[in-house]
Amino acid sequence: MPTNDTPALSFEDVSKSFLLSGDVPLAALRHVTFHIPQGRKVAIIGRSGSGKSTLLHLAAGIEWPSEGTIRLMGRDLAGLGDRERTLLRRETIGLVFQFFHLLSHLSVRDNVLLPAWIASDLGPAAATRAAELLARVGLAQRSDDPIQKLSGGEMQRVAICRALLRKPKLLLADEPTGSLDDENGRVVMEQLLSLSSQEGTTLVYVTHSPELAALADETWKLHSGLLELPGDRL
Amino acid sequence: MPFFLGGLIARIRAGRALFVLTLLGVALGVASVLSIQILNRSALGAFQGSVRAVGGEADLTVLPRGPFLPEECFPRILEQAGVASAWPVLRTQVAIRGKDAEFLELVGLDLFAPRRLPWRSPPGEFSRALSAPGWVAVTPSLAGRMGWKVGQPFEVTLGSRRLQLQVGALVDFQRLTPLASSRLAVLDIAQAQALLARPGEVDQVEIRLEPGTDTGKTADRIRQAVGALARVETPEERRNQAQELLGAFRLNLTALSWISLLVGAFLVYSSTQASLLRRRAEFGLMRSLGATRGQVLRIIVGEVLVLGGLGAALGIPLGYFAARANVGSVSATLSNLYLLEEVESLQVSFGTLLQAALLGIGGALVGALAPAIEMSRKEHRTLLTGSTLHQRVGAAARPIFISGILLLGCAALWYAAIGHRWKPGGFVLALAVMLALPLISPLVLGRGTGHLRVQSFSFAYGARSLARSLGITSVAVAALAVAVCMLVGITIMIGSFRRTLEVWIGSTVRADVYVSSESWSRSRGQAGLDPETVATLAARDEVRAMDRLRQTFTECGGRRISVSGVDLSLGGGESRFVLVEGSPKEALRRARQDGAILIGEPLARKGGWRVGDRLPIRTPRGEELLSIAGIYSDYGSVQGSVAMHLPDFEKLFGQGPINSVALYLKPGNDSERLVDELRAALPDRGLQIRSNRALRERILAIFEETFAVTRLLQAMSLVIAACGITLTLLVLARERIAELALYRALGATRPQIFRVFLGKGLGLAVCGIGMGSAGGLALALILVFGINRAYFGWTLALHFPAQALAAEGLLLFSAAILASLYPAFRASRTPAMELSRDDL
Repeated sequence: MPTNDTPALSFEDVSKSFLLSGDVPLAALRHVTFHIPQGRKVAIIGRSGSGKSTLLHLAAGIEWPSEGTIRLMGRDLAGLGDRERTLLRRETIGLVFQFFHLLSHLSVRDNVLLPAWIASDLGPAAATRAAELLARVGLAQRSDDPIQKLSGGEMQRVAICRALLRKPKLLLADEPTGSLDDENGRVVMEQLLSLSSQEGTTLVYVTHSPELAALADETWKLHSGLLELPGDRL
Repeated sequence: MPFFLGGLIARIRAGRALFVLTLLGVALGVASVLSIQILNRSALGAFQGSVRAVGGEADLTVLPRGPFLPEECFPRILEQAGVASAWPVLRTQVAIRGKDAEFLELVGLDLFAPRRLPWRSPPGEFSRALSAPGWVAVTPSLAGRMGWKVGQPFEVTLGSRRLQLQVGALVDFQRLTPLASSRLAVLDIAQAQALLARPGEVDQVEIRLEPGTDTGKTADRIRQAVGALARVETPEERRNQAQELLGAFRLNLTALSWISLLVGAFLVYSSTQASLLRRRAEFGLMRSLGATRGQVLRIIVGEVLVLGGLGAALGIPLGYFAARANVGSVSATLSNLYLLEEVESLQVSFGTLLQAALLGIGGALVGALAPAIEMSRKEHRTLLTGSTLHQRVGAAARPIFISGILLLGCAALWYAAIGHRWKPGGFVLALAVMLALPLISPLVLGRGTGHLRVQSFSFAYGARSLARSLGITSVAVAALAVAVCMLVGITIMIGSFRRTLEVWIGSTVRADVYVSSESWSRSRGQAGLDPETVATLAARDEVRAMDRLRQTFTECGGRRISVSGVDLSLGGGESRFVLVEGSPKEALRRARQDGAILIGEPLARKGGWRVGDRLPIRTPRGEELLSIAGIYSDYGSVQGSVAMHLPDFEKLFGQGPINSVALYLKPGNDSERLVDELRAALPDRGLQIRSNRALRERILAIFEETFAVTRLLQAMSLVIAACGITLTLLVLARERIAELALYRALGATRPQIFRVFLGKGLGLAVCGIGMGSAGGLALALILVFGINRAYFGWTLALHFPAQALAAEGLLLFSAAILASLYPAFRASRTPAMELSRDDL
C-alpha cells in the first residue's frame, strides 16, 4: 500500500528504443532514473525529439520500456497487463495534451465528464465535481457550449478540468501551452499549477519554454534521451 | 503508369480489409446479375433447343390452334411455292418405367423427308429405324444415366398406355445443339403415331424455304392454305412468344438481381468516399504541385476502374457457379408452372460475360463518381486543411429527406392516378421506394441516434456517435435498408402467396385420393387413363364419388391455354373453384346447364375478360364463343385455363380418355391406406396415386422451388449489405483513431472500446433494419397488389408470416453483429499512443 512517502513516480534505469524502417534502432530514452515525491511539480525541458513525450507515455503506462523499472505510486508497471495498466491509469493519472484532444461532439461539461463516463462513475458526485472545476477555471457559464465555440486557452482549461475530474495522484501534461500564445499560455500554466497544488496532485509537465519551466519546483533537462537532473538528486 | 500502379498497390496493402470488402461487394453484385442473365437466356434457349437439334434451322413452323394438326395440312404446305422442304413432327413426353420421375421427350420425325438431317444416322441403322418396332435414338448421356446399351429394350408410359421401345442408336444431340435436352428420343413419325395411337395427327410442321424466297409472303400463303386449323410462325416470333410467356418471371428475377448491384454500388461509394477522405492531404499536395482537376479525377477514376475490373473478374465465375447451382430450381419452375422444357445446360455467351463485366465496372464507377468529382473539384487549400463532409451531409440531411419523401409521394400519386394502368407501373413505384430509402437515411440516422440517452461508455455511446459521421454511416444504413427492403418485401409477398395458396388448396383440393398417370405432369391431355382402370377405381367399396377430369390445350385469342372438363354435377362442386368474380352457385348452374365456362384469373386479367363476356376458344369444330359464368383463382399455371362441364367438353373436343380422377371416400375410410392398396392392386398401370395430404405437400413443394432463386438473390444482397457495415465500421475505426486513442489514454479498456464499436454496428443495424422493414412493407404491397396482378394475373391476400419475419430479423441482427465484430476488435486494439496531432 502506498504511503505519503511513496514516490508518485519512479524511473529506475529506464531505456526506450524504437525500431525505424530497416530495423535501425532509435534510442528515445537512455538509462533514466528519478523519483518524484507526491505533491511535487517538475518541469522537463528539451528540444523536439529529445524524448519528452516518450517519457510521459512511459509514465502513463501507454508505452512499455525497453529496459528498467517504472513505478507508479509504488506499483511496478512491468508486472501489469494491458487491462491493469489501463485501470491504474484511469484511477491514478490525469493527462493534458498539447492539442487539447477534446471531443467536438460533446459539450464542455460532457468533455469534462468523459473520464467518469469511461469509469462508469457518472453520478451526482461527478457532476458536482465537474461544475466545481469549471467554476474554478472561470468556465461555469460555458458548461453547455459546444467545444468549437471556445478559444484555445479555454479549451485547454477544459482539458485540465477533465484531467483532474477523478482526483488523480499524478498529472502529466505534454506541452500544455504549446498551441497557445504567450499570454494565454502563461494564464493556463498558472491555473494548471494552482489547481494541482490545491488538489495535492503531483505534476510533471513538458515544455519548450524556460520561463514556464521556471514555475515548477524544479526543472530537468532532457537531451537526446538522457535526463539531466539538478545537482541534488531527489 | 508505374507511378499509378505503384501507388495503387501501396494503397491496397495499406487498406487490405477495405479493399477486400469492396471487391466482394462488386463481385457479388456482378454475380447476381450474371447468374440471372445466364438462367434467363438458358430458359429461353431450352424452349427451342430440342427441335433445332433434330430438325435443323427451320424458316417457318406451323403449329396447331387446337390440340393437334391433322396430317392433311402437310401436303397443302408442301405444294406452296417457295417451300423447299417440310417435315412433320410429333412430340410428347413419356415416363420411363421403373425410374422415378424420369421422363423422355419423344420426337417423331419423318426420316424420309428430303432434307439434310443435322445428324448422321449410324451405318445400317436407317432401315432399322423404320422397321424395328420401338426403335429410338437416344443421347449417350441419357443412356449412361439409365444404364442402357444399344439394342436394349425399355418401357415407357403415356397415361395408362405402356410402350415398348428399344435403344436403336446413340446420337449426341447436345453436341449439335448444346441446349437440346439429354432426354431427347427420336423415332420415325409413323412409328410414333402408331405407338402413341395418334394416327393422322402431328404437333407441328417445320418448313425450310427456297433461297431468296420472301418469308412473309410464303407464310401468308401457307396460312391461307391451312386455314383456321393452324398458325404459321417464324423462329423469331416463336422466340418472342417464349420471351413474353417468361417475361414476368425473367423481369422479376432481373429486377431483384439489379438490387444486389445497387447495394454493391453503395459499398463502392462508401469505400471510395473513405479512401478519398483519407488521402485528401495527398491530393491537396498534388494540386499544390500543379496537378489539374482533370488529372486528379483521372487518377481516382483509374483506381475505380481497376477495382471494378477485378470485382467483375471475381464475380463472373461466381455468377456462373450460382447459375449452375440454381438451374435445377429454375428448370423445375419452367416445367411445373410454364409447362416448358427443362433447362439442362447453361447458355453462356461472350456477350453475356462482357455485359456482366461492364456492369461491374459501370456499377463501381457509378458508386464512385460523386465522391471522385467532388474531390477533384476541391481547392488544394481545402484538401490540405480538412474535410467537412460529415457536417455537409448533416446540414443537407433535412432537404435530402424531404426530397425522398416527395419522390415517394409523387410516385404513389402517379401510380394511384394513372400508373396502375401501365403494366410496368408497379416497378416504377418499387424503384421509387428503393431510391427514397437512401435519401431519407441521413436524417433518420442522425435523429434516431443523435438523441440517444447515454448512461455509460458502452453500446449506446457508440450508437450515438454515428450521427457525427453521416457522410459514411448514412450510406451503410442506406445499403442495408435497400437489402432489408427487398428481403422483407419478398418474404411478405412469398408468405402472402403461400397463405393464399394454402387457403386455395384447402378449398379446391378436397378429394381424398387423386389418381393420374406418371406422365400426366408433362404430357397432360395426351396422358389418358384406360377405361378399365377408371372403372376399377370407381368400383372400389371405399369410394363414395369420383370426379373425372379431361384436359387439352388449345388456342384462345392468340394464347395457348388449357381447357379442362370436370364433372360439375358432383355434390360440393362449388368449393372446387374459388371464384374471384361471379356467384359460385349461379356460375356452376350456368356451367352445368347452359354450357357456360369458368376461366382462370390469369387469363381473365391478361385478356381483360369479365363475367358475361364470350370467350373465343379453338376446337376441332372451329372457333366457339363460350359465355363466361365465373372467374376462379388459378395458381397452377400462368398460361391461362378454362374449366367446363365434362359433357360440354366432350361435345366440343370429342370423346377421349379421362386424364385423371379424384376419389371421395365414404366416411371411416383411411385415404393413406387406400393409396397403398391401390398401388399394390394396380402396379403396372403407370399410375401416380396420391392422397390429399401428399398432393398438398407436392403443390407446396413446387411453390417453394419456384422461389429458390429469389432466396439466393436475397442472401447475396444481404451479404453485400453486411460487408457495408464491416467496411463502414473499419473506416470509422481508422477515421477516429485519435479519438479511440484518447479513450484508451483516459482509461477505457479494450472490452469497453469493443462494446462501443459493437454499439455502432447495432445502431447501423437498427436504423437500417427499421427503415428497410418500412420500405419492405411498402414493397410487399406493391408486389402483392400491383406487380403480381399485372404480370401473373394472381390475386393474393396479404399475409405477414410472423415466424419467417422474426427469424429474418434475428438473422439480420446476427449478421450485423457478426459484421461488427472484426472492426470492433480492430478498434479495441488501438493503442493510446496513436494520439496524433490531428483534430478529433
